[in-house]
Amino acid sequence: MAVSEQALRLEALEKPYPPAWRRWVAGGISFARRKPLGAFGATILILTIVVAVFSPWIARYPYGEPHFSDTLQAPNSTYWFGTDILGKDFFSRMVIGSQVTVLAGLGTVVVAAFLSVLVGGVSGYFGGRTDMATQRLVDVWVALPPIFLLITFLSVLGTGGDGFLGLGRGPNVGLDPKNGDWIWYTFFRSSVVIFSLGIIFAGYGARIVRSAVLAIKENVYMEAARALGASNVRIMWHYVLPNIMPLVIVLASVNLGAAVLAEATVSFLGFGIQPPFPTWGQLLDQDGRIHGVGHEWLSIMPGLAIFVCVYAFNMLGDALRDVLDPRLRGGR
Amino acid sequence: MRQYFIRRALLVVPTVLGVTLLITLLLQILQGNIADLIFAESSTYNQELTKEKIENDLGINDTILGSRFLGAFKQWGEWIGGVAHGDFGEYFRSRRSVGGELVNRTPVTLELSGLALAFSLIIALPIGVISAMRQDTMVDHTARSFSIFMLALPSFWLGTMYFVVVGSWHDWGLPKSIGDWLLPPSIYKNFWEDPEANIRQMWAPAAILGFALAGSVMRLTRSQMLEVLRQDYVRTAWSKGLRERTVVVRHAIKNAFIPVFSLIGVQIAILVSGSVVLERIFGLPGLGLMLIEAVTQREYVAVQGVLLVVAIVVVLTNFVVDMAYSLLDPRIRYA
Repeated sequence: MAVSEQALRLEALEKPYPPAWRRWVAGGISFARRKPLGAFGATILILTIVVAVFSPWIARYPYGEPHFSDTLQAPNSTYWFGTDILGKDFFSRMVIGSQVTVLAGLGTVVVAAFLSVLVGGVSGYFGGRTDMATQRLVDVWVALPPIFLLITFLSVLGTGGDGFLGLGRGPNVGLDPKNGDWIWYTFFRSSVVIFSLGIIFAGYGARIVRSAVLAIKENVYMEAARALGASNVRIMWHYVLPNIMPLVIVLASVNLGAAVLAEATVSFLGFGIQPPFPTWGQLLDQDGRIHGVGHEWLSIMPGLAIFVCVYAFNMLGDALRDVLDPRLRGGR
Repeated sequence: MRQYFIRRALLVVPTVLGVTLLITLLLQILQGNIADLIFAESSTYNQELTKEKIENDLGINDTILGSRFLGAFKQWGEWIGGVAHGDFGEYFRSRRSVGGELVNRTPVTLELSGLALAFSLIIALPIGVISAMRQDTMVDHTARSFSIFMLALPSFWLGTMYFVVVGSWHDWGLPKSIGDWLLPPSIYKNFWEDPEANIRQMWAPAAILGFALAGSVMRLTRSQMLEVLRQDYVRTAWSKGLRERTVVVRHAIKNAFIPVFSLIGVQIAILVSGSVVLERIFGLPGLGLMLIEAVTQREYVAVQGVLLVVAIVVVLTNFVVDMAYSLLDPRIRYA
């Protein structure tokens, strides 16, 4: 018995462990089998990111270049998505606009995850008065519907050229317009939107993280760590954080669709990235809403793009949640 | 229970006050240029105007110990004191009363939200129930994919498309009389003034907003129904030989709808948010449009007023729904 067991173990050791990339591929395939819609969402996400990153090279014309002889053209072989009132190529504008969608979506969930772990973690970990005070702050934080806060935030901070804390001013100086279109510079342009959205989304996340931390605190290994004299920072970093990571990833992916939708909404209302730089929400408002009658493509294209992205990201979020943390599955 | 009720009730007021304080501080720290803006607009007409005079008139240069941050507390205190006496302040430029504007605007948003809520319940509840009764059939799959679609459909896109379709109605050779009815009158009329015009203006935004809500209501109704249908007492009802309709309507629905009711507390925030977008597209003079106008013109006193009203509505609804929830379902015990 003992011998055969040892033999088995040796055999397992000799069998080469698959390299990381193969494990990732295998994991991806099994995810796609179990959650086809989730895989569809992941595909759309990757596709959007690729388009956004390479957008200056995918766009067929500079996004601001007018063609006065070809105004309001219906989609054709020269202008794939038609042209707007000034004859700007709508396809190029949509492709460039995808940068903001990707940045605002991913940036928001990253900022929100970071803040909600910080606030929710500290609140749940220390408990007592800290918890009480933080929770009242979070109450205030989430008392207003997000759009109301967002509009106020964005209008006060301003979404013009400079970005959050004037970050947008630096790297743009002295660059030719082609390079200025690259997603890295768009990040600085959209930083105000990203941080405002992130701060607002974090309020809801902080509550969920807090309750998870409260549950983790009950574990015996926490007591053991404390008995060994570990500092608060060490316990939080090495014991609490790894345990809430799956939850944070799920929260982020579930919020991704909502973040994209929120960015599109504020852009549509005119509080997002300002023209001339295009975003999908802004195109839907400035072209689709104003010139849409008789030129349907102007309102169909940006709206459809937003819808497909939000739908795909929601599917991805739901699938990841089911796989990583089925307990979170609820009615909503 | 009673203790919980009292504790929750005591939290309502500080939460609302906290919201307004936070907004005042934010505006005070970050705004900085309302005086600049007014100065730039008016100084060509009035040569004697100075920035200091505008700031004094507006009362936005309050400082305590030379600090604008502390000054904001003083300003907030004065503003809250005024609100307690029913004085919400006035617009910087036109000197109109913000309180009067709020009184005019709130009913529009409430009507829109109420209609939207009714609309979403009317479509979501029956579909959710049927979807659960016929679990894993074609009906169920269709309803579920439909509800997921609805969650992702941006209401501002639907609103835009509504006008595109109505605007192109004639060009597409569709019946003119229907197209004329669908085009909402451009001047807002309230229900008592002109019921027909009001309904023509309201039904489309309410339907679009309700549509956005229906997705989540439907999903929750379905999952709750499924859970209730598996309970012992429902099996007892079946084994008594009751008809399906009696089992579902008399026994199952009541318990399944309780959590759905609590969802409405969460939905109210979504409703009010959605109304901002739809009021903008359809030109309805509600709170959302008031906020957009006030924010673009940097009329921060009006912004404060809108946010106060919205915070009160949201916090109170959540409170009432939570309390009603525990009355409806006596199994729920709050610590």
